[in-house]
Parts: sequence; C-alpha cells; structure tokens
Amino acid sequence: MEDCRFETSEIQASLLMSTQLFTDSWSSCNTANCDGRIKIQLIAGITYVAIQAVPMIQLGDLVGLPVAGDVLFPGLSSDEPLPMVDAAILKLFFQLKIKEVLELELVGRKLVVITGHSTGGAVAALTALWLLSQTSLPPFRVFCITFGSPLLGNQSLSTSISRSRLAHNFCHVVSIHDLVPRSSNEQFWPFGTYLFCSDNGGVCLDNADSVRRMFNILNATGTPNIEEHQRYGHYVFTLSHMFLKSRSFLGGNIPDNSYQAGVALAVEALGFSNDDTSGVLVKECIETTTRIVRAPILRSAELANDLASVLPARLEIQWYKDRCDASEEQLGYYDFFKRYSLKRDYKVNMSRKRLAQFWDKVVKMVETNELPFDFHLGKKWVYASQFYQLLTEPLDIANFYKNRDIKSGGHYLDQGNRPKRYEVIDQWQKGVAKPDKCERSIYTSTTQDTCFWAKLEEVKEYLDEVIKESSDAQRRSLLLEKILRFESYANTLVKKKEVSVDVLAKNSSYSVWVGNLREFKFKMGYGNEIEMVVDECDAMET
Amino acid sequence: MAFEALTGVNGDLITISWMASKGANQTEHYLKEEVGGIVFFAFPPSFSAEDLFATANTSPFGEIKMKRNQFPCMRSIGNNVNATVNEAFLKNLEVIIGPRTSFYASVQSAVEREQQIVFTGHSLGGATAILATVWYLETYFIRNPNVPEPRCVTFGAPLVGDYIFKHALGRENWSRFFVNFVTRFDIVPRIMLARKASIEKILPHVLGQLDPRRASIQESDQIITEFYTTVMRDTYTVASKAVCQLIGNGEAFLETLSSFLELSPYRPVGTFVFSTQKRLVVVNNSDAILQMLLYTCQSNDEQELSLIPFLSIRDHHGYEELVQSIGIKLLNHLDLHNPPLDGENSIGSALNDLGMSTRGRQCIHAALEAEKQRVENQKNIETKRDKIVERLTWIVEKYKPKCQTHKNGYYDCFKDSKEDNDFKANVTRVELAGIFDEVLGLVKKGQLPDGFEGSGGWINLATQYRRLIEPLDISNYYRHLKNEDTGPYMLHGRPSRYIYAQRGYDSARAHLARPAVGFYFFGPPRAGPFRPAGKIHMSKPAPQSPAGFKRVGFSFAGNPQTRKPATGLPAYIRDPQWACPLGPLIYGQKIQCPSPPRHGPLGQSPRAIGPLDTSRYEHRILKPKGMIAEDVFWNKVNDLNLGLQQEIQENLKISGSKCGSCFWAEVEELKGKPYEEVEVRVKTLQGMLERWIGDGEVDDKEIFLEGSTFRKWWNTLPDNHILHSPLYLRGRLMDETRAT
Repeated sequence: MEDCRFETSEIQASLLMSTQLFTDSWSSCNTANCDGRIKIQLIAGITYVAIQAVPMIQLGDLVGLPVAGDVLFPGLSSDEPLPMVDAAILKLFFQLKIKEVLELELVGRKLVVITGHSTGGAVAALTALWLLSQTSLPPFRVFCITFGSPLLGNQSLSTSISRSRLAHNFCHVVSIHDLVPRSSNEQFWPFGTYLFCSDNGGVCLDNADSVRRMFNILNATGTPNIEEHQRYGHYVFTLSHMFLKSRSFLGGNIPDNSYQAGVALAVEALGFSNDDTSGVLVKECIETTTRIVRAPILRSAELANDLASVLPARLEIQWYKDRCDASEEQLGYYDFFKRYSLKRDYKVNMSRKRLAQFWDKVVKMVETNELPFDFHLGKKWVYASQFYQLLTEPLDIANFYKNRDIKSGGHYLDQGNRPKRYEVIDQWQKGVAKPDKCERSIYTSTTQDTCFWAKLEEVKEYLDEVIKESSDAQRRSLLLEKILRFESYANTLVKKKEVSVDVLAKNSSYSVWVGNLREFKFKMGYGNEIEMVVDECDAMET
Repeated sequence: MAFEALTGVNGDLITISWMASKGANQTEHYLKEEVGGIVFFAFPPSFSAEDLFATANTSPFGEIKMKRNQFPCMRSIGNNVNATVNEAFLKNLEVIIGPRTSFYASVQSAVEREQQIVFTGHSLGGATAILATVWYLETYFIRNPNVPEPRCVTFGAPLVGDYIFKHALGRENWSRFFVNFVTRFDIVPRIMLARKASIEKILPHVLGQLDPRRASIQESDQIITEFYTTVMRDTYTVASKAVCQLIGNGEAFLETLSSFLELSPYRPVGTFVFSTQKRLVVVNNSDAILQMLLYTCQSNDEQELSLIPFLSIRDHHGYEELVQSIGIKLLNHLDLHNPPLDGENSIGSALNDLGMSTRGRQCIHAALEAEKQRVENQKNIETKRDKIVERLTWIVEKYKPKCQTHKNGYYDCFKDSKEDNDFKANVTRVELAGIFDEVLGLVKKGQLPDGFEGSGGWINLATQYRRLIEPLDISNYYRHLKNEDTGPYMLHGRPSRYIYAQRGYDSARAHLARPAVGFYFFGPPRAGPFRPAGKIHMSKPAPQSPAGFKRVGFSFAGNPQTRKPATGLPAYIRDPQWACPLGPLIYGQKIQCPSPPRHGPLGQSPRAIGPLDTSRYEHRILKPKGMIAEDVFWNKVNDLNLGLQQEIQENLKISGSKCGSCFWAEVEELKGKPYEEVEVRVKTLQGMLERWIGDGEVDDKEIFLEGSTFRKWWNTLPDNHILHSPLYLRGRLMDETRAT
C-alpha cells in the first residue's frame, strides 16, 4: 500500500482562511447579529446570506426530517433510520421565513454563500441543505460556512448528506476552546468539513469520525471558555493574516518525511505540542483522516482499465445471447439461463458474477467519495453502466427466479430484492440528457426496460392465479387489471420495437404467457372487450 | 560553467542581455544589439497600469485566449483548448511586430543569416520578450529547421500565460529557451497572481514607485504595504489551491470552494533563477516555482514583516547587482535529487537563505513529487505498449485476412458477428479501449509529462489504433442500432479516445518540419513487429501524385532484413515506427526523418542523423501558416464545387467526412436516406475518399470487396451520380451488371 506522502489538512485550512470569502462571510454574520435579522448582500459577485444568531433557545431535541417525497427536502437520500435535526433549529427555520425570503432574493444569482454564527450557523446549514436537496439542483452554486455552530442533526442526517454527495458544500469554523459546537448529546453527529482553529492556525477535517474524535480530545484536554463563543471575530482577523508569516516548527526536530512534517505542523497549528499526550492524540486523529491511499484521479483512470478487464465478461454474455437467439429451441437468453445449468450457462453465470462484483465496487467507490466527485457524469461511465444493465439485469432476474424460495413468494421488484447497483445506475441515467428518440427500424439488441422480465414474472403468477380461480373475485379482478395493464404496456414496447428479439422468440416465457392469456380470454369469452382496451392505447399513442 | 548547463545561457550572454535591457529603457519599442554574431532584441518596460491590464478587457485577470491561426502550437492538443495570456502584453507584442516598427524586418534578416537571437527585457519588457520568443518559435523556428534556437532572458518579469501556455511550451520542448531571473522579494513576478479588482486602485501608485526613472522609494509607504499584502494574499490562495490539487486530497471540497474564488490562471514558464545575497537557486518545475514565489516572500517575524513591502519594490531594481555577481555566487539546483526538506545539505541551506519555511519546503517537495508521479504514470502506460502492438497485429495479420476470405471485409464480418473470431475481435476491441481510455483519463487531467502529447511514438500508435479499431466500434454501434436511440455515431457515439487520437495526428501533420520532441522519449528504436510493408513503393513518385510523394501501404508483416528497401531509404529508418513521428505514414524520396532533438529527454543521446533537406518539400508537407485540420477539410470541400457554401456547411455539420476513420459511420448514415436529401454528403464522402486511401486512413482493400456495405450501397445510387463519379471509383466499384 502506498502512503499518502503529503498532509493537506492544514494547507486546506490556510487556503480557506486566506480568502476574501472567509472574512466577508464573517463580516456578514457580524452585521446580521448586530441588526438581529437576515442580512443579504452582494460582495464581489458573491451573494452572502447571513442568518442572525438567536440566543436563548433550547437545543438538543431531535425531530425527524421528512425526506424523499416531502416538499422540503425531496432530494436527500433517505436510508433507515430517519434523518433527524434539532427541533429548535427547524422551528427557527420556519419562524424566520427563510424559504419565502430566499425564493425571492436568490433569483438570477450565480454564487451564494449561506453563513451564520452560533444558532444562526445551524439554521444556515439547514437552509443550505434545503437549497441543495431540491429535486433539481439550484441554478447557482451554494457554499455554507458557519462559525461556532451547534450540531444540526443525527448520524443518519450526516450519512445521507454524504451519500447525496452534498457534504463538500459545508464548512464549519470551530474554535478549539468553544464548547457550543460540541454537543453533550451523543446522538448528534457532525457532517461536512470542519475547520478547527486556534490562535496559531487551523486544520480542516472532513471525516465525521475524525471530527468526533477531535471533539472528544478537546473535551478531555481543553479549557472550556464561555467567552470563546464570542471570539470568532478575533479568530477571523488573526487567521486571515496568517499568510504573511512563514510556518516553521516551533520546537523539536523536523521529521524527514514530508507527511510527518505536515502532520506535526498541523498539530502545532491547533496549539498543541507534538510531545505531550494530547498532542499525540491530535496527531493520530489527523493521520487517520488524511491517509488517503491513492488520488481519486488516478483511481478513476485505473478503473477504466479494470472496466476493460471485465468487459470480456459482458461480451461473453452478449455472445451467449446471440447464440441463444439463433438456437433451435427459440427460447431467448433469459429463459435459457433460467432453465438450464449446463457448462455454458455456468460460464455465463460466472461472467454475470464478475460483472456484478465490478459494478458493486464502482458504486461503493462513488458512495465513499473515492472517485472524482463528478465521476458518474462522465459519458463513458454512463454508457458503460447502461450497457451493462441492459444486458445483464435480465440474467439477474432469471437467476432470482431460478433460485427463488417459492414459499416466501417475494418478487424481484419487491423492496430489497433488486441489487442496489441497478438502482444507482438508474439514478446516473437520469442525470444525462437523453437525445431525441427516433423511430426504430428493427428490434433493439437489448430490451430497453431492464425490468421487463421481472414484471412478466409477476403477471405470470397473477395469470396462473386467475386461471386457477383460487382467490376471491375481488382479488381476481384486481389481478386481471394488472395483467391487462402489463399486456398493453408490453404491446406498446413491442410496437415501438423497444424489446429485443429474445422476448419474441417462439418459446420464450413472454410468448408462452401471451398464448396462455389469449387462450384464457378466449375461454372466458371477453376477448373483444380486451382487444378494445389495447386499441384505445394505440389511439393514444398515435 | 555549471550555470550554463542548468540554464542554457552563460554569464556573458546574461550580462549583454542585461545591458541591452537597460538600454531599451530609452527606446520606444525595442533595442537591437549584435554581439559576437548573436542578435539581442531588448524590450523596454512600461510602468503604466494599462500596460498590465488592457483597458477594454473585462476578465478578472486581464487575460485573453491566444488565436489558433497565429499561435497554432500554443494549445492543449487533446483537450483542444488554446492557451491564455495577458491581453495587454499580447497587444504590446502586436504593436512591435506590426508595421509601425522595424522589428519584423530585423528578425527576418537575422533569420536569413541564421543568427542566434536572444530576446530580453526587464520588468514588463521581460513579458514582451517571452511573447516575442513564442512568436519567433511559431513563425520561424518550427517552420524551418535551419533556424537556430532562440533564447529568452528576463529580469523580474511578470507571469505571462496560463497552465496551457506552460504545457504547450513543455510539449514542444521549448521551455528550455526561457530563463527568468528573480530577486528574492521582487513584487513584479507575483503581480499577475493577484486579482485585478483587488489591486486596480493602488496599482498606478505602485508602478510609479517601481519605475527606476522616478525618484527614491519611501521606506514606509502605507500603500506599498497594502499592495504587498493584497498580492501576497491572492498568491497564497492560488499557491495553496495548486498544491492541494497536486496532492489530490479533498477534491470535492476544493472544487466547491474554488468556484467561489477568482484564482489567477497565470503560471511560471521556463527556468527560474532565484537570487539571494549569496546564492542562485535554479528551478525548472513550474509548480515548484509557483510555490517558491509565495514562500520566499513570507516573513519570519514582525520586524521583517514591516520591511518586506519596501524590499518588494527595491528588489525590482536589484538586477544590476545580480548580473554582476553571477560568477561569484553559490549555485544550487532544486530538484528531486536534493530533497528540499532536509536543512543539512546544500539545497537546504539555499532554501534557508531564501527564507523558506518548513511548510514551503513541503509544498515544493509535493510539486516535485507530482512531476515524478507523472513520469511514473507514463512509465506505467509504456508497459502496455507491447500488448497494444500485439493486439493490433492480430487484427491485421489474422482477423482481417480471415474476413477478406468472406469477401466482405472485417467491418461487415464484425457486424454480422457469426464466428468465434468475431468474438475474439470484440474482446480485443474492448481491451484496447480500456488501455486507451486509461491514457485518455491521464491526459485529460494533466497527469502525464507535458511532452507526452507531442511524442511521435504514441501519436503513431494511437493513429494505427484509430484506423484499425474505430471501424469496429462503428460496426458495433450500427450493429446494435445505437444510432436509433442515441443518434448518429459522429454526434453522440464517437468515443473521446478517437477524438483525442485524431487531434494528435492532425497536429503532428501540421508541423512535420520540426520533430515532435518527445519521440525519443520512449527509448531508441528497437525491433518491433511494425515494419515497412512489403508493398512499399520506393520507386519515384508517380507524376500525377499531387503531393509529390507517395504514401506507403502499411502493414505489420515482414522482417527488416529481408524487407529492407533497396532504394535509398536511409539506414536509420530501419524501424520507422520509432524513428520519426509519422515515418511509416508518409515517405518521400528526399524527405527524410527530421533532425533529432538536440536535447534528448531523459538523458538519452539522440542518434546521429545527417543534415536534412526538407526545404524543397516544405511547402508540400507543411500546411500554410495557421492551417488546421478543419481548414484542410473545408478547402477540399470547396474544391468540389457543390454549391452554396452556407448550405453545404449546414449539410456537413455532423458529417463523418471530416475524418477518414469515420468513413463507415458516414456510409451507415447515408445508407438509408434518399439520394436527393444527402447528395452533398455523398459527394463530399466520395471527394474525400481518394485522399483518405492515400493517407492510409481508409483501407481500400476492404471497402471495395464484393460484400462490403459500402459497395452495396454505392451501387444503389442513381445512375446519373455513378456516371459522374471519379473514374477510379467506377472502375473498382461498379457491379458487372451495371457496367454493362
């Protein structure tokens, strides 16, 4: 394993501190605090929205943040358990009518900085989160910088922010002596980048675990000071002039390794000595966050090579599909794979697994931010993932039904059965503008709806159930409706030639099912009526 | 003298340059001196604000893109982005080379007499000298191999161009011509790192103080202190951002933060010589120089801090002293061999002299390591070369001939994909795509040495790859009818790896007179599987051949011993693959391999190659000044006389006819459409075809085969069209039935 040879937590902090953004944010906060109301101003092309600190509110009660589907934070990924925020802050967010104010004020802006001190900082973070988690991204860039803000929410909030790839929009400036940002409530969890600062300098940590660890160290060693919470003006002034001074070691020998030297400097920047115990703890804390093995750029270039090495597996499946299409059984690769376990099918299964492994790895790397953050927007990867999904998901479905536990009766499309990678890939596809579709002259090489077979398997069961007449009439009519809906949907796909030939193969599950359905309809004598439904659908089409 | 070895200039040359630069103060545009056969052009500095930021320029750093036709090399080839330079400096250059001065004529006469030229200047005069050198390189040096290498010596010059400017000079191996002297605290080399908005107001006052013709400088000048602080603040932001990027941590956070910051695009180019009282420190690495500009100007304590603003002005006048003492100062070279962190060795004490802090050393170390990493990356992809060659060879020697026996060529065979071989070809296709995509990823992100883009070996390899494999990609695209849901191949389907490869090829063709520098980069020629084909036409070029030289067919078969051409092919092109950038692609009777670079990178000595005589053929090989691939295409189209230019341009907007390896994509697109609708495109395709076959872009052995999609389609065209088609096409394409 290769070491990260340089340590950047302090350089990052000094970079931020040397900017106009840093000082202008603070001066906006200051004005907002003095005026006691939200301050919006334009400085050098950047819109600063500063939210005033509201003293005397009771913090520490968590309340669930309704995500996904709710009008407020629809874009935030919602994993169990529910993301929660401080009830008082959420209340403040509504009380201050921030939504209403900003909806008017931010029209036509390009760069927006949301900032605030103390409770104002927490509201600012919530505001930025609200702007960033709309279904469509705002037409401007958002950066949130808070000063001495208390923690906003729980661990689930923190993870969904980083899962939704929003964490890099947040920066929290925190004095190492200030108690307010560290909550005594263990349920509260940090997110975003933390800039810990002392009179000597600052250090950026962007990993929630390390930030918590740092909180613990500070709790154990620091000398808490109530006044510290009001000293951010002093820090901003001091730190924003650090760039004039050279940063050398205050004491001791210079480590001969650049990384160690960087860590030692960072420890000193926080006002700790490299020799005493708390200094050692801080050092360890910084080391764990900054030891990144490979730079993301290099990793994504290597991944291209990895992709090439698994591509033969995809071609293998493609080849398998083509052979199946041409075979005498006239089954199509979905049914072939579901039905047989010969040597060839076994080999294809291996290829399927290899591909799944690769894409699971990619999806995980994207989630853990190990790849460049715009990775999934790259054309190459959008296409590669799409081709993979189009070709292979039918096999995954086949595999699912081949090994299905009949008793449980669960379906592929039920919650939790469809592999997560496909859902992520679906998300990626959404981010890409689709070119205008033109009419197809022949059937596509792969069925465009990758879950077609899963849907078929469901209605197949419904049809069996209806034919057997094993359930009550109400359920039967419900099932029948579903069956007919699928039938017309499938017809449309076939008409638009959006299915591959394997779907239409003479003996494929689909063809068999269509035959069964026709027979059933004939038997029940309401064929005509059903034909009409389909015709209507056609009429709407044209 | 070691100094000369490191910088390419000796003490005398520097002294004369300085004297000339000083003398230029009295002139309006430039001063010409001739000493010992060398011509010195010195440019006067200016101390007015509009010469630093052009008045009408609204960009935050007074920058502007360079024009492609005037400076064809100053760009990133793959990413297809032109270099950015300071507009005021560029305007100044344009005045000087314009008709109002005699400069152009003076340079012309020096060129004719093959004299070496040194461009030089102090302060803003140095910026002019840098641009004048670039202009000279683009106008004379690259076009005529007899033009001697220029030198550019600047004293306290501001930064001129952006990263791409630096990258392009690095790629062409021109960086070595530039030597910049910087006294430790001199503010001028740092000015361009500051935002225009932050310094605009106080700039005139400061420039007044910098002007040597003015009276003495005041020691405690509040405005100067403010100016110093502002410039340093922005320099700090730029340098910290740069070093974070080099290390590659916290990318997403940095990206967001950076979008809120205005960061100077300017980067150092060439060699920098930093001077202190006792020493000179020579640095070549642009990233390291940027860090040096910041960290050498910081202060250790309050007392020093109060002095530095004054020193930052005073040091701008310290070059006379510097030049006089060059001989007696200690000399250090800052590179990876001397780790900067260690205070013990000589470089350590040099950095102590420069006041470099631990943090500064760390940043410089990071910059140097990043360069090392780029070299490593290149080594890493070099190891894949054999695999590429092996796969391509398989396609040429096994797959293609096998397909030809089916009488429809590999394009159509692959499209049918009926045999195991087709499957194997498909695997080959994706394997190669993986390798080239990896290279592409590195190129896009600037993770390879600057010279890589210009390296003949890779341009060649990528060209062969593109010509051989792109038809398979097109075949795959249309086999799966991706055009029906994604759109035409040319519009949505063409992978970037081919687009980049094409750009590399086009630009290499654009300047054949000078070798692309990197072509020895990968080591000396060796016996590889790529050899001149058996079918080389080494005979005298056929008289009707328009370009006056004959292309050779290109195959990978054969043995150099037995295939050794009998006629006059110089022995050193035994394996032309590695010997010259486009060796195997274009041969001529007299056109020999261009001269080797004088400085073999990586310390490899170039092999001895005789003098060359390209002048006779120059007008044939070289496109006229500023011609780019696009222009060549349109010229050809205009020659075809197809009708109104505007309509044609509209018609050909997404045509595959701009590039030979996309031939099949264009055929596929035209295939289903009524002739009337696509007449212009059909004729263009036909018009380009002969040239493509000549260049080796399209394999004529393939496309004329009986079963080929092209042949079948062509024969469906209206009789009237076929009758008016070029003779060679009719001869080779017309079906028996139609012919009769």
